[in-house]
Amino acid sequence: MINKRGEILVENVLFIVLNIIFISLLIFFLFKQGSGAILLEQTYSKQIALMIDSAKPTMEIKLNMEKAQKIAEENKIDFNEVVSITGNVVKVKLSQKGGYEYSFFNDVEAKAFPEIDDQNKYTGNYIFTINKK
Amino acid sequence: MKIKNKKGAEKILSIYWFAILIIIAGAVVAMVSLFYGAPYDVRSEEANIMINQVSDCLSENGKLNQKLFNETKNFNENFNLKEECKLIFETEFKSEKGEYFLEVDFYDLNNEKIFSILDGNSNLYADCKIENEKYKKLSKCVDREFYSLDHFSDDKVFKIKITAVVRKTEKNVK
Repeated sequence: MINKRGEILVENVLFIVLNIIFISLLIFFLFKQGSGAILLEQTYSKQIALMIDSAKPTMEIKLNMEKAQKIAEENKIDFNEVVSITGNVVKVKLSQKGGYEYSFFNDVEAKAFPEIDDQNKYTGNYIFTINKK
Repeated sequence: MKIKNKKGAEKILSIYWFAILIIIAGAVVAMVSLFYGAPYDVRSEEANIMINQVSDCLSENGKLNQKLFNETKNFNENFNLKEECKLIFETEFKSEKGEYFLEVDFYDLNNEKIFSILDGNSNLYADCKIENEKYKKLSKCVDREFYSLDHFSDDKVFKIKITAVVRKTEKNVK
């Protein structure tokens, strides 16, 4: 009687553990998909382009890009090279291959550079300056 | 004998259970791939921001921009919308025709159109006439209206309708 009960308990525990592993893997997969480099490149470049479109000359905008910094570090890309603005096209690069480009229509001179603290380290923010052409 | 049968049934049940888990995992992966595979459509926001920018440059402090009028106080046919409103229509796309179109219509209080300014790729305007989920790959159109006083007289009021069209389908629709 004691042995039989023990067997049932082991089977149940194994079953629950396997289910927990399965659910954990699914949740990990969902989080991984939601914070992937390709997706973030797209969201940041569109966000920055729309931000520049709505900006007026002499504005200075600070954007929190800690998620991008984390992924760039994982992919061995210097945070300084993550955002580049050429003409009226914003490019965000978080992986060695490619990057994502999106254009803005506001005819201004936009510049982007990462914020650095007193210890010369990146804070995770990017600063955008908007000036007249 | 009963115990043996029970164990057999449990094994079959666990095989079914894992088959169900695999089906669920497959469905989740497929749904997530579909969701994250589609690009974010920001064209409506872009068109709205463009309308804001154009309305800011056409009307200041509730009065129409002086540059909209010529020496005879009539509407200036040579008003350069892109230059005056600080707009660039060149994009990362290599299409020659352009990804944007803007139309500004001026109406009097009797709702009669008295002046119009057009700029950009006018072919995109045709897409605005089609409102169907099947044709979501076409351009995105947004139109908004506001009222403004004449630059020279406080008695004259105009209704200004701005229509902004943004194509950029390759980067906004799958």
